[in-house]
Amino acid sequence: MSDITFSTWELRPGVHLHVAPTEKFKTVRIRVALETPLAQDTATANALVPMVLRRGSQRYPTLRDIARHLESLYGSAFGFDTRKIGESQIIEAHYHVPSERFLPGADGLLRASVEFLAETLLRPLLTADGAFLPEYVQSERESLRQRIDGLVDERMQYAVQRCYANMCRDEPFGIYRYGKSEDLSHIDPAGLYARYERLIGESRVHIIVVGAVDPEKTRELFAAGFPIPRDGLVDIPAPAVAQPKSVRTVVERLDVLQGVLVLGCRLPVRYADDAYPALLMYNGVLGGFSHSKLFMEVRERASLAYTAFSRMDTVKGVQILFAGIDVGKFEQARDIMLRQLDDVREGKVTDSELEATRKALVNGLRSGLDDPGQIIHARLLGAVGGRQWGVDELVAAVEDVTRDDIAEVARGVALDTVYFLRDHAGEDEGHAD
Amino acid sequence: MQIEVREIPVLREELHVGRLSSGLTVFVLPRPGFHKKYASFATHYGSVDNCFVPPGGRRVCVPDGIAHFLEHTLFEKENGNASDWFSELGASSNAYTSYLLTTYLFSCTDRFEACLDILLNFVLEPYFSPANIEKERGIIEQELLMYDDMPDRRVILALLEALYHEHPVRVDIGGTVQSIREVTAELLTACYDTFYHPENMSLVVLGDVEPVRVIEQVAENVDRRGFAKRGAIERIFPAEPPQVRERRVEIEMTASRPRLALGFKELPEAAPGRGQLRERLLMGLVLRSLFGRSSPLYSALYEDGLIDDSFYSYYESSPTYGHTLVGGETDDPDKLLDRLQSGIAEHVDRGIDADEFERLRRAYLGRFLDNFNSLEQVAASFLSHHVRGSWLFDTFELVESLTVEEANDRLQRHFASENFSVAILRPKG
Repeated sequence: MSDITFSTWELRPGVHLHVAPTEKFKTVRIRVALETPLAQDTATANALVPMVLRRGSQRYPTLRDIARHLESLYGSAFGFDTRKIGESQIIEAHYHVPSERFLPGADGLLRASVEFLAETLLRPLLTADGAFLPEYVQSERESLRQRIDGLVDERMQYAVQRCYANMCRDEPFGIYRYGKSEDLSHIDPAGLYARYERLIGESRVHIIVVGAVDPEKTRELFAAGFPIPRDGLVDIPAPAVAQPKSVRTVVERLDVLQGVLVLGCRLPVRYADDAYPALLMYNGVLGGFSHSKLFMEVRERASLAYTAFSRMDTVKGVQILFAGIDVGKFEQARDIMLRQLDDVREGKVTDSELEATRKALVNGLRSGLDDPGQIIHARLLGAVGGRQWGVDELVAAVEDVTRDDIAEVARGVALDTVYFLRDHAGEDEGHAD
Repeated sequence: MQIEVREIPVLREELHVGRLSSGLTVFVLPRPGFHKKYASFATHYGSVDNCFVPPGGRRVCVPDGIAHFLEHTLFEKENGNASDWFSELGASSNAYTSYLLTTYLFSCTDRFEACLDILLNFVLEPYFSPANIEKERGIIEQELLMYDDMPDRRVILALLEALYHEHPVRVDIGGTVQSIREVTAELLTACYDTFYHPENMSLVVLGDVEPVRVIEQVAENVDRRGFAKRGAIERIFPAEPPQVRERRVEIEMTASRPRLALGFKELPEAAPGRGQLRERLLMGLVLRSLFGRSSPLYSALYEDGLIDDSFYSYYESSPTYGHTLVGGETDDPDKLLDRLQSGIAEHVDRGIDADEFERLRRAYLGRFLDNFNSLEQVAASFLSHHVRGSWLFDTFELVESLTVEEANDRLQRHFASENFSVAILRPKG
């Protein structure tokens, strides 16, 4: 069934190239991911590095030079992002280039793409004394500050991050993927360049290529054309495991029209565990889909919310149950949501819930093979999470998960933090919820 | 039933078009080797269609947001919810309402034929009960409140209200918490009966399917329902003056930073269909030359800290409205506005040169090709063209045929009249 097969090479110590040749897509996608530990003292600077890199390289010194070059490569799309998987911070470059097959006369696009990635990542524009350009650092510091402070404008993502920040206040996972704005004033061009050198030299690197390419030729292009320096590999500790002693309730107030309720939980199973398929089934039954308990009970039966779902970080082993609700319905929504978790623990899962979840997961896994972004993400998750689950392997395992397996996972799930983002109404009455 | 096969040479694909006796048009784009099969069933009925004359009937005007309300309610049936029936088969289903279209869709990797029948059945067999209407009202109210908490959405709504005097594009697709209170079963039925007729609908199917079999299955399901041939629906739009309604509006809400949104209004003059597609493509290139990342204006604004990654520009049009929106987050909306105005004026004076035009054209084609990886995106773009009377795949050929002279002419006409409105959102407190 799987038509996507990766070839993998270690090009240099800690530099892994993963290539999946396929004729299914109209473009070739490349991701270069630098994996490094998520840590208080480096998270903000790490997030700033790619923002400065994208401003200019030695050959393409300005934003405009880069943009014009990409346009001449048939509108190749290029960008950086920073994400968090478990307690790893991932600094990544994305690149899409049209497949040479569909553009007559456009030969050599793959070679040009590798050259461009090497140029932007490995040959940054520097001052004479070997620091990043002060004006670029200054301007991107402001951009990053706005990005961090702007999270509050995305109420749902903000509430999820606030829940995790409270829940994991003593663990790296609580750190926002872009770090914190207070750190920014301490970052200067020379210090940032030193951080860049360590990031490039010490990170685990995953280069993932999906599209109509020849694997051996791709390997040669990266081996010769992407000379990333190596200077010892950083140790990435396994994510911390903590168990809640008691449930904390945190209410924060903002001038909002809709309340956002987030229940943060600890999971007993991780991505690399054999019970991972049972964990997927557990999350699916509880809140992964529109047939799941949270959606059915909070939205469809109680008409309390438009959105109600659950999401996990399975590398860290945490989950959030989420609903956007009327600010006055906090207790009612919380109780309904917790009741659903209890029902799963007690094995109160109907045959149709069980089978719909199983089919939805299988559907999602197989559909993922048609989406280059999902193929790349699954490969990266496997690289970071310490196990490459094949789609066929995962489908077969999901087929075997029983109601008891799901209940067993659910019984190991511990509620840690109840977070509620609400309006200012009743704030002066002098009591917290 | 007729089936026509149209070649799409650039993609090396074939589109099969079935025209059924009920009036429904079915488009099938096979994708060998894909696991996912995807179907999108759309009616040419969106949030702007709130005043109309049904074929052979009398003029009806309905509350804002009713098309979206109808979309929510259609999933509810006497014997359950249609999205559960898809779930039982392992498929995922969804629906969305835009200004011009309401679309119902599913994606599956198994039991495609059963899913396709569910899609056709649930969309073509309405059931509006008072209890379900009340339930959806509660859910939609939360949906609208969620949007009202989004600063980027609020500033664009304020801008559209300033650009348009009367046209319903100035109202949020979902309506307002007040307007949806007026929705009743009778009104839903009046809208349904008018717009959910096969002559006004189309179906798009993508994936590793056998086109003739798909079209035959749809014909069997739909044609037996005895839909009578009907005339056209008359859609009534209020007379919209070409000038903007208000030059400048300001709103306040809780937000981390101010937002500026600038809108240029130009009601379409080109003939609907291919003519307007050509205009949209030209506008796409004009906006790239003016505001794209390779433009001098973008670089200057970015380097001066007036814009960031949130900066956007796009042109949107239908046969009855047309505008360019430009904006983003900024610390100094007034200064950004000044700089945008002077930057636009300079660009209109200087014009686009031939080399730049070639580079932008090439980039446009590469990006356009990228859209064809996703079945969802192909279906959505296809329908968005279809409802405007244009053909998505004409884009390849039309982009090749555009000239720099036309682009400069478009640039002049769109921006030189200074027919614009400004909306500014300032953080509260």
